[in-house]
Amino acid sequence: MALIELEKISKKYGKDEYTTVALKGIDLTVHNGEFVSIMGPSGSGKSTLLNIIGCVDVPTEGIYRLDGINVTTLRDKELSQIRNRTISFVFQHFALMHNFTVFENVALPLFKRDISKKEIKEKVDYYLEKLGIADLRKKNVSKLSGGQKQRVAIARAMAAETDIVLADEPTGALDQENGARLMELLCQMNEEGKCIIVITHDEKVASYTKRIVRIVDGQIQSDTKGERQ
Amino acid sequence: MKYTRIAFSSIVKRKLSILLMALQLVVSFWMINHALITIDTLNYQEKQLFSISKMDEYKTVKLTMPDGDDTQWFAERFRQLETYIKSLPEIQGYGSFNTTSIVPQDFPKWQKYQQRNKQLYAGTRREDDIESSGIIYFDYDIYRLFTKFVVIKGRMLEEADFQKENNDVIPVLVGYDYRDVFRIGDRFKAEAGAGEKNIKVTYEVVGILEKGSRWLSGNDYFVSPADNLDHFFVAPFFPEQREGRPISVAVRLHNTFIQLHSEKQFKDVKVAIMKKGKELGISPVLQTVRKDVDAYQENTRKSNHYALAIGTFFLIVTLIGVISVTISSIRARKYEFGVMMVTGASKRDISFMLIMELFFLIGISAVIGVIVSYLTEVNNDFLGYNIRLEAFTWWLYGKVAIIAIFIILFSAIIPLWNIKKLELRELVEGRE
Repeated sequence: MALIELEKISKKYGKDEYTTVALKGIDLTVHNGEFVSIMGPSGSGKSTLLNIIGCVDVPTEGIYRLDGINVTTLRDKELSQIRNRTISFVFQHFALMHNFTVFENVALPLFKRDISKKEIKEKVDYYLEKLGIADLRKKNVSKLSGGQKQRVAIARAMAAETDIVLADEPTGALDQENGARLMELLCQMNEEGKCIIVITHDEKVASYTKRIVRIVDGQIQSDTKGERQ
Repeated sequence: MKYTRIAFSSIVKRKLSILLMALQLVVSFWMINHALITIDTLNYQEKQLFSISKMDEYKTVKLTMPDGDDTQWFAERFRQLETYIKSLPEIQGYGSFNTTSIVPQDFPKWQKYQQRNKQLYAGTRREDDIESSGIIYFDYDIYRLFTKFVVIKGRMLEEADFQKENNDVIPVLVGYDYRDVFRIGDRFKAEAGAGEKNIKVTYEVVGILEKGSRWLSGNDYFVSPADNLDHFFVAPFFPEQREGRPISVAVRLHNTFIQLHSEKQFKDVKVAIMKKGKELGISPVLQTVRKDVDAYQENTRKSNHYALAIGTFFLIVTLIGVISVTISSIRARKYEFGVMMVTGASKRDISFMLIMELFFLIGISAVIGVIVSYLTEVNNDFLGYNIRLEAFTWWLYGKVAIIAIFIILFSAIIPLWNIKKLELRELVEGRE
């Protein structure tokens, strides 16, 4: 069974003459363990697609099934559960809580779960160690470099232990070296069985993925295999 | 809920605006609390008056003399007026009480008496005055008609006890705390009067008062807290104490009452006494206890309404401030909320977090407001005890809590509506 199944997904913003069509009848299926990059120029609708896949936004038309469940009809509370247990995000702008420590940021998705403080600590420490940022655990994230911040964001996605990781231009704010390191981490997560979907306009980033979906004007233009198989 | 930690952290982050709002809220709660105390104190005072004494709202009349003084001239005229009042057929009883202090001497256990007072007065303004105790002198009618206290040993005072001369042995009741200092039949001496007319009076203990016996304050029978008679003496007036000097008459005037057979007689009695007063050249004023209490309460209510109005005004201004600061904080924290929501927080969690913040801010301010109010009252005990402290009960705290909850809910409505309208898509598109 497909993990992500989009059927004729459309998304419109605004009303009447101010309507903007971001997505036009997208059909897309993604299976467990896939590593997909979604490419397209600015305004092509790739971020809107990621938002819909990530249950951050809802489609105007069409059906979105996540692990067999039609999520287009779910309410905020149920969508938040999905965002907490099934999907993790890695953003270009890191999406970290300022004035909170590295530890607290990584633990954020675990706050919502029914697990003890001890378990949270063990899990967070494990991933901080794995990413080589254990020595930063008590440091305020606002004092970290871009590369360190992105590692914290990856650690948070790993600690959440979700099936899907969505990354929106994850290397956008990083230098070449840190960008490459990040992509290696995403590859590593994919090898561990996670389904990774990356939004990018960078061919180099796309080259790390196993499948490349190109979007132009809200429609899928091509869906091809990536370099990394 | 682990989001509570985020709520507290957010409060700390916005410390200056939170501090200013808290300050405003503390002042508001202080004002509101002040008004609530005043209302409660009025109720407490009235309840105290009628639970401690058998005074009747309409049949008991308070006699005052606005032009009364401590001259011989006035004392003579007032005595004539008293004789006239007692002669009126409508009068069931007439008399006064006076609260003062005496130094008992020449009795077997005076050392134990002083030790007891040392314990009783420790930490009070009387701690250096362990040789003396309070004493309340009564006229027979006041004692007979209005007092409720009883003895646990010996006997109560009788009519004959109130007809003693200065040289007679004066019967006395002693408070419960002195039950093992004095035995029934013990005698002690104490001075009465002053200067050349100073005399030594002999008292004889005839009864021990029940624990917790109370009587109205000599300072103000309604406004001031009642005296606990456990470390007091109770005795009948004798001539020197009642009439000895013009000042004794003037002092008695604070607590002089008339008891009527029927409340319908008040108007006629008032006219008659005022007419007699005019003949004597003095100006008696009569008011039923109900009217006296009402006049005080009315006066107090006016200032109370003013305090309530100011408190409410402050509260409304603060409420607007809390709402606007909370709304702008939501706008400023959109990114933070976005991060929380993409990691699994629902709008309900964010709303809960916001209410926690308001609860913390308003709750703490309410508690500080009550504490400030309490400290103000404690430092305002110029008479040794502030009756307003009696108002600090769970009932008051409950009312403050209800007001605080109302403010929390009211100030949360618009911000929560703002959270409901948040679009997660817009939040995650935000940048640091």
